[in-house]
Amino acid sequence: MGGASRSRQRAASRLTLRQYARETLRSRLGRVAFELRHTQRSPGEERIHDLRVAIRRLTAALRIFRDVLPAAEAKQVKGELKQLMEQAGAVRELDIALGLAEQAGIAATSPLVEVLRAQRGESERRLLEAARSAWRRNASLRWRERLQLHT
Amino acid sequence: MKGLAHPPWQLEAPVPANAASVLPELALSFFERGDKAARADASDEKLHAFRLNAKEFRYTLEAFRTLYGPAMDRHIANVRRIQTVLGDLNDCRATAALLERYEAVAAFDVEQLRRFLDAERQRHRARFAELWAELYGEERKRRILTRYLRARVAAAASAEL
Repeated sequence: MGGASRSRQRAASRLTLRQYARETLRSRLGRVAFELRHTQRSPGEERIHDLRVAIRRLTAALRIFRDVLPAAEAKQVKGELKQLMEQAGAVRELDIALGLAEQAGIAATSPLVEVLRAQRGESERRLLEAARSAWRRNASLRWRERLQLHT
Repeated sequence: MKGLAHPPWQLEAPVPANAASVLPELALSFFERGDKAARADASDEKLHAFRLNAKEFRYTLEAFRTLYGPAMDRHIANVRRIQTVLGDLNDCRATAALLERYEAVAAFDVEQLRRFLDAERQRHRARFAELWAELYGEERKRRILTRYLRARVAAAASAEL
């Protein structure tokens, strides 16, 4: 293990679960904010994937460490994250369908692929709107405050 | 989804003590659910539920990654392999469901894709059973993981003292 990893391990070992949970949540929330900013500026398949991963990791941490969070506020934040995740999930679902259609040997010019592509464009547009709206409303800062993670 | 079973977190206790008590129990619950999902007669719904359990397990291991040594990455990668094959199976299910919307506009393509998805589904189910047996089929392999989760973090914490 490298020196940096060891020092992180030592630092983490000194914390209580409550402190560790809060640090983890703060860091994952920061990641979501980063991905939101980048997705709404320059969307693309990879960026959408990264946003999904960041939201999923934050949602997982909210679930794992739910005992250290104010319950009602955490539920609200999870609800907002879920909405974003659903938009991102719709795009991903269509990417997967397009990939499977290609593997199945269906021509790129076929009616099915055309309709899937059109649907994908529409889903991406909705996701971008949701990401922009979350960014404009300063969602990550609000979430941090709601979850009482600012201190 | 029914989450994996584990003892409660002790919020004011040190993180290593929490990880050493909770993560091995989580692993045992993961093995129990996985054994059921790997049966030949397990429904797609059961496999889907286990995919979510595998995800929960992996994310929890990742949340405590900092406390462990490099071998933790290998354990996480193994769970990810399970998750990936179950994810591929789920993609086939989700795409098959999505196709219902397009039946009217592209019946021929939809039929072709459906046949492909059926074959893929069977392949992923078989792959999952094989992988489960390979990674966690033997008691010895399960013990390696549970012992690691219990002992490695304790060693890291005591090295600190």
